[in-house]
Amino acid sequence: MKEIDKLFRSSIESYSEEPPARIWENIDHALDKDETKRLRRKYIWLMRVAFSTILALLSFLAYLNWHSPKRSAPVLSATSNNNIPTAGNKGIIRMAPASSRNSFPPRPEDDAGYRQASGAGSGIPVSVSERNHSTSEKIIENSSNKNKTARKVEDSSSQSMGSAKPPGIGNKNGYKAILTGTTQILNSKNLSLAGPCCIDKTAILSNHLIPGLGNGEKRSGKWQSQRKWAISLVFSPDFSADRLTEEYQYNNQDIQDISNRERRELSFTAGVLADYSISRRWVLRFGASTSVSNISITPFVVRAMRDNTGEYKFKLATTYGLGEIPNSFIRNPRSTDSIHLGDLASQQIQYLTLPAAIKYQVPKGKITWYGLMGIDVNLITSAKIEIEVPQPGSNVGVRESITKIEGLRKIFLGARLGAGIDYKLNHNWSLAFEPVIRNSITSINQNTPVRNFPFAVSFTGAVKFRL
Amino acid sequence: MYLNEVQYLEPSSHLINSCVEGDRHSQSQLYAMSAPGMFTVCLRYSRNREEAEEVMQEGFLKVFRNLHQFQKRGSFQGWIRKIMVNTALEKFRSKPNLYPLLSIDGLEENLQNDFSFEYILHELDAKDLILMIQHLPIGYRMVFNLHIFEGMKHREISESLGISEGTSKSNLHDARKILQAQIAARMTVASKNGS
Repeated sequence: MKEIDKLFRSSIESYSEEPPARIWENIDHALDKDETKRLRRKYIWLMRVAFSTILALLSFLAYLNWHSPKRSAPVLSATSNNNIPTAGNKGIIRMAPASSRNSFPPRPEDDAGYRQASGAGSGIPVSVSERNHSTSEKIIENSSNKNKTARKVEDSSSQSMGSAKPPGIGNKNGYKAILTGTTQILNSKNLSLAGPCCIDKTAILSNHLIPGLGNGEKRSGKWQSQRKWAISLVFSPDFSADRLTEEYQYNNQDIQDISNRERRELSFTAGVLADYSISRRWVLRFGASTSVSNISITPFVVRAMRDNTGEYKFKLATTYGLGEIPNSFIRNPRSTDSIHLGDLASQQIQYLTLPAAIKYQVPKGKITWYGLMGIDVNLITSAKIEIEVPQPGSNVGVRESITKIEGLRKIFLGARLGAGIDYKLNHNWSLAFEPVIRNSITSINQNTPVRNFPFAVSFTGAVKFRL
Repeated sequence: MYLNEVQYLEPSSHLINSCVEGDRHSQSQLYAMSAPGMFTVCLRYSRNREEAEEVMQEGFLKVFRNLHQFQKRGSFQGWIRKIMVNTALEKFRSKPNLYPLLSIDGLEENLQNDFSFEYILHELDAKDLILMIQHLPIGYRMVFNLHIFEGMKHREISESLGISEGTSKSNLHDARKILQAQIAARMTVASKNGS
């Protein structure tokens, strides 16, 4: 017996044979594909960096907004029957102490700080300051007359300017007033206050420039003037994965065999969402979006298996289901036949998502923070498995698209949980960034070797328009 | 392992590094350097040339994709060869029982080997012997290759192929019988033609 071993070993071990050139050509082609995939992975990494940058930028904006100059001026509210307080209408300017500047509407106890001004009768002169302060306004109260508004003046420079003011003028007593309406106020020589007061012309003039504070809006102290509808265009790259449970082994392939040969690629979601504000803090969200999920499959051998009809068929077991390979590759397959897949195997699923969610938001100036949770109804619109079967003697394999995937459902349900930040660009438009976790409640397939509950982390960017 | 018997060219570490960096020209050079020897390995483990080409292609793709894992302390050609053998074994494991087992009962009387070693080597070249190996049933072929060319013990073979040690020994025994019978038949024909 040893002789034959020696015969083969000595004869064959020293033998070498030049392989056909097409082998290197195929390897070269496959390495090109590897390079493409590598670049794609690099691209994903860049996208992650880009999103991190955006997130950091939004956080910085939020920080700036949070640490905006402190409100220093106390509250003053003014009412009058007309825009111009006159002796006839006895326009009243009510001044509230600083302690009440955050109370809304003003508490009754704040009335102690109120001052009354009559059009011409009080004898206390009104000073009109035309300094160019950096001023922001906030509605604090509506008068009993709905046509007139009073605004609180937030002036960061009011503390420092005190020394520059003549005694008895402006914010000497810690009060700072602004009468809204028209600039006729500035020309009114009859206006007088019960106490020293400063009227900021800049603030008055900016009345029409501050977003969300148009003349047509009513200030009642309760949320009612915010526009209720907003439409968002959303787009997100999805980093998805699968939660798998084994139902049965197919062709001696268990859950590990099936899942190990699949690799999730970057997926995308795009759509339109509508927000309906039911209160200042609570918002209902619904809409529609479409998602594309891609999975690449490493090459493996598919063996012919007898199905319920008694015929032998080639079925590709994936985490979506069983894709039946057409018999065009091997006609009338038998139990011993097999197909070796090429490098281009992949599967793709597209589904339409109809989300319904509730959102709790906390507005802070231009920034609005929010969290949301809801339910998704997902309708699978298309699913396919792409395969390539190498052909002996040819560099190019035969490609086939399998659209018949056994076990794939039409509908599956999911839940979403997320948080986001909304930055108001102007009166109508805002940008939002919203990381969301989407997890399926029901599997996307049934009666398959592996049940699949996909989940994804979406980094959604949105452009929102308020209606 | 009997790698010492074969004079494989060892690539320089510079060439390997270039291949790791993805330089296609270097990869082509490395392939050209290693391919002839490795193709023989693939032929031995395969049923025919087409299958050998598949194994070769898959094996070299693994080589280039995992080249960064190569520990430069050992033999590079040995590393490639191991990958080729493993690729062939994976292929074997992926389609078990595809080939019917042969009965060797009738071969007993053909085992009388009246031909000298030198005469056989004169009459049969390596291609003929590889063809004989290729015609072995797949299980026998795997065991024969692993034992004779890779120098694996039956325990290691049984672990690699997922069979028992007894089956491994039995397959090797049967493979030898079949090969001897084939050689005897060829020699008989050759001697008749010569006389």
